[in-house]
Amino acid sequence: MSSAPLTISLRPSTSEYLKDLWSRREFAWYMALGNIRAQNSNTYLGLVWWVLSPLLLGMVFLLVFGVILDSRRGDPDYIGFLLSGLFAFYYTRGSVLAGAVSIQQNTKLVSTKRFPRMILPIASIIEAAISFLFSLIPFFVIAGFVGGDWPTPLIWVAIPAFVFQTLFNIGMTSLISLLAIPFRDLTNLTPLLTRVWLYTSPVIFPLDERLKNVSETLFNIFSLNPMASILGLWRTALLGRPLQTRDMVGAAVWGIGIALVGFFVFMRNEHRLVKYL
Amino acid sequence: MSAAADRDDPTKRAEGTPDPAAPGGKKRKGRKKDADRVGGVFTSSTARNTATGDPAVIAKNLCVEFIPYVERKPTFRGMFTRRKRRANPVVALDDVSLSINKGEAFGVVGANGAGKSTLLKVLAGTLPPDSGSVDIYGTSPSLLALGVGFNRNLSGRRNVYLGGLGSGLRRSEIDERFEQVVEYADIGVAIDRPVNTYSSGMYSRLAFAVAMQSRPDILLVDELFSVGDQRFRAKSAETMEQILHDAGTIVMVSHSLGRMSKFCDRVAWIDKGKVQKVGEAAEVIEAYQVFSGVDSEEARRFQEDIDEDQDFDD
Repeated sequence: MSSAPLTISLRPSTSEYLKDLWSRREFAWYMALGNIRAQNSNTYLGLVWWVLSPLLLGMVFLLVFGVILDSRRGDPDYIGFLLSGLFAFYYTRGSVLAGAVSIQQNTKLVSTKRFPRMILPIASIIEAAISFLFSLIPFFVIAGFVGGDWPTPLIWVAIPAFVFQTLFNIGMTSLISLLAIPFRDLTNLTPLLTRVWLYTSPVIFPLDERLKNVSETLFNIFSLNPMASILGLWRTALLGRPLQTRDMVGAAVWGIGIALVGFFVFMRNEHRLVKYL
Repeated sequence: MSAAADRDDPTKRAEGTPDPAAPGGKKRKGRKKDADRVGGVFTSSTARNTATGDPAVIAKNLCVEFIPYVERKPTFRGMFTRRKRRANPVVALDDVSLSINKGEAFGVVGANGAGKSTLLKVLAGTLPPDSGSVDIYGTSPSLLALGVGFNRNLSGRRNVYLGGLGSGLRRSEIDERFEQVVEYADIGVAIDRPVNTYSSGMYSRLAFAVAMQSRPDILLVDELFSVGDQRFRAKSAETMEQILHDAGTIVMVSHSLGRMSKFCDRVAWIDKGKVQKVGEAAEVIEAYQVFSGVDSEEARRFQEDIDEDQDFDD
């Protein structure tokens, strides 16, 4: 024991915070796996749901948008297009929705233990990432059978796609989980906002085709949507669509930018949380 | 925040703070050697005398205010004027200064809402004070609360890991202690059953065992005397005694005054966020009881009855 007292410090430096965060990685991982296990612990099918849920979700979207509304517009690989966009979008959606309540659901933990609070949104992201990887199984089963030529030579694009999307998710989820404590209203709004986001992102139809007739300014605004670039990368990786520089740059800028903003805002403000719990 | 400012001022800390490296510190180490005796019963505070003169926690001028949500009659106008009519802040801690010594069992009493739990959160470092500072000598204190981080849908085994990781242990450390924890909690084969199938006694036994996995130098305990049945309660009391014997420090909050006066060396009485009296346990508790308008003799008998009841009602 040193003679100097340890004064309780709530403003760690960035490197201390990152070190602390890294030393708690097992906790984030264990918490995410625990939530996954707990979610289906009382169901008969158990872990099968992790493949079944995205499969059923994909079938609903295919039925509504592919068959009833006929969004295919002559795309021979519409199934692959829809499913890749949908599952990748659900990775971000899942992170944000779980993250929005991640601190609220752990109020006791937050008010009694000291640890970098960012562990909580990160656990939500791990959970969503695992769920996304599971959803790729039905994707390959369906799209592989229907679309045929898989794997494409551009499959390596999946790595930057996953990295940039995960960075983007870390930033977004941290911001929302933090803001949802003083502004509980956000918890009610996030499901609605993610839904609007889903319909304005190129999940169901490609933007350039649908927005042919709008002004260029509006088109550019729609293309600014971070999900447009991220989904573009996923479609290159999974469907072999041509790689667009715009997508790669957009995903990188959004991913790294939002991650940095989210990280610093969260780290600098997390000590305020307990007062609002 | 002025907590940070205070911390950077070394002169402020130096005054009135005994140097832990002074002879008193060595004495403590000497005592630690013969501390391996296991107290099987609740020893009275006078017989224990493990407290040293070294400080473990020094809290200076702590102030915490909350701005509560106030529910008003919902009016159309009110929806837009909410900001202007701010609720009065609730003062949870008002200039609280305390010095708690190593090896001491320090109690905090007070009515509901007096600021006891807020004080523990500030000492634990999870709630930053609006002003004032906390100096800790030793490892960072841990606020013991039951079932923190537990997921009730998971098995007891997984919750041992979740709880341990939550209090900062590594997985390998939990691996080593796992058998001990299960044995201590006396859970047996139920460890592989989901926690939501446990009886409340089993749950709190496991939660207590998990919480005790990590033994910080300074343990902050919020209302913990009624865990499990009588046998388990004796065991948990023994564990607390053991911590004190290892020159650990315990700060506890409880409404069970009878037990507090038996267990604690010193007690602070807090009312409306202000320290009213600090001193020898029995004396402060008596003053608190007089203040609360309960005849102390009557209150003691009543408290003893409650304590007795608690022993047998599980």
